[in-house]
Amino acid sequence: MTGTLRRWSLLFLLPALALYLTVVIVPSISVVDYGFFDWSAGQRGRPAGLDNYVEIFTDPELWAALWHTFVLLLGAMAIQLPLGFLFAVLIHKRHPGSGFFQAVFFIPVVLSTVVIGVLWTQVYQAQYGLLNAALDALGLAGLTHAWLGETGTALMSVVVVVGWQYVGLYMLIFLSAMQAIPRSIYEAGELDGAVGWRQTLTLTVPMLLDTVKLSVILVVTGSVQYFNLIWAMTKGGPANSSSVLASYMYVKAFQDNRLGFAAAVATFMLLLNLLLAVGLQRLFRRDPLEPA
Amino acid sequence: MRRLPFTALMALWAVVCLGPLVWMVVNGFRGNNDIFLSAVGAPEWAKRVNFADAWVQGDLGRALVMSVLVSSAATVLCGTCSALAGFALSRGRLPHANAIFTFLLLGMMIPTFSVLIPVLTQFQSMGLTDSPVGLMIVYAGFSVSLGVFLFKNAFDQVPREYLEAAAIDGASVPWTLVRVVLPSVKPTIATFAILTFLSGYNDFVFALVLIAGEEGRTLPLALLQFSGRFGTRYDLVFAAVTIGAVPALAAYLFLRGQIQRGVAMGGRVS
Repeated sequence: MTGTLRRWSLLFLLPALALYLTVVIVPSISVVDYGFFDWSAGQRGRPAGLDNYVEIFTDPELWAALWHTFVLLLGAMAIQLPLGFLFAVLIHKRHPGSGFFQAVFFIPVVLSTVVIGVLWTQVYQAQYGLLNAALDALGLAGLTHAWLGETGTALMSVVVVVGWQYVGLYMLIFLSAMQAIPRSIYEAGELDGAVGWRQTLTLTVPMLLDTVKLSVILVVTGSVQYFNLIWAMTKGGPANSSSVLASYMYVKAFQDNRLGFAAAVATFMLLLNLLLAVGLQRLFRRDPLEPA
Repeated sequence: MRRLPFTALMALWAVVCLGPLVWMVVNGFRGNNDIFLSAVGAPEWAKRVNFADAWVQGDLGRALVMSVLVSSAATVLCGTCSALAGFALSRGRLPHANAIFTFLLLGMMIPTFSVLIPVLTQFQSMGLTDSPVGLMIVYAGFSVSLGVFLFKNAFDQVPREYLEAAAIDGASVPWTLVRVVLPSVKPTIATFAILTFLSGYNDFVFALVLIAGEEGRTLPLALLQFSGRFGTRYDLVFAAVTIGAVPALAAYLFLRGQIQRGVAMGGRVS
């Protein structure tokens, strides 16, 4: 019986392995290889040694993109985690209307990135955009901008939308962790006088430490490869003022047709991502592949 | 009374969440010149023709069908493969099952962008660019890690007695999987299906790279190109993006609990 089971199981593993190797593993190994060659017209050319890497790290555009990626990471974290946590706490208190707020806050998470990107491009539009109209109505006409068209505001404008999109997700992640805290812990705390906001600070926050760590890892690794709203709203412009690593790589690969160079950028992103993921897990003492 | 500031804060965020969406729908019902002259204005029922125009000129119907077909096919393909693999790793008594499991989970740490170029060149040589089949394979492949993780953990919870009873009855291994094990993990199947469908339906990076022609465009690609091409027809852009938002909003309206549970679970896993 065990023999038959084993034979079936080996057979059962094959389709998933084939799919996974073709789409995920083999490409992420060959991208490293691609980066050591010159490519033209989609064909591998002469070996380039480390030329691509030398060129990348001497390109001021890469450093700009790296800096913007970092700004995006910090901005997204500063918006998503505190607001997500705050709303989770408020909804967890089960005041009237919390079901409604929970449902509404989650709506942006469900919408597709392109819908959000096209919509917010209109919101930020200079002449007929909702944001400038709201500022005018509040008597703040001096603050209006062509938000996505100016080098000073483009990146932050996109970062705000990235935050807007995912506050609901982190709210939900925190909320489901709070709901998993056993009632008995709260009851014991109440006997010791932990009620209201004291309860939140002394009981809920420490119990959620692991979820907070997980969320930080999610935001960091998500930001390193962030592309979607940047591309849907500014394509990295104007004048590269909102370019990130992913958009930099995309332009090099599919607009300048420099596949080898772009593959080297992709390799750099892969290493950065693995380094940050493993590094943060170490720092937080979590097993890399163990879910919360 | 003490809770008033908090309620006010939540109400404010609710306005920030819903405001742009309401504005989008209302402007879909306004004329192009009206929108240009004033950001906010009353909708006109007569301008409902905007939606028909956007639908036809953007070929949005075809794109919507393409998106739904590709994402559903990817969900079925990946679901089948990862349920089989999850069963093998959970119950197969295979040597090195843990190492294989860890290897299959590595995919969660690999960014989409690192595989983009090799996938494109590989698919070009196999004739899988500009094809819904190619897109389906990519979406399915990228969900294998999540699927194997969800199914293996769910199968671990199935009581051993179920499988022993099936074995005593002389049931074959595939029969046991399909008729005994799978029916007892229905919530996991729902979570997996929602997450995998959504990731394909919302993707536009792979579609951008792998699809060049108009025939194979998915909805996100069609919307993006529409707003580029009809950039000065604000009325049509608002109508098109409203059309683009409706399927997801409708699904959320009817499956709110399941979608929230699924996405929260997915967030915790990846």
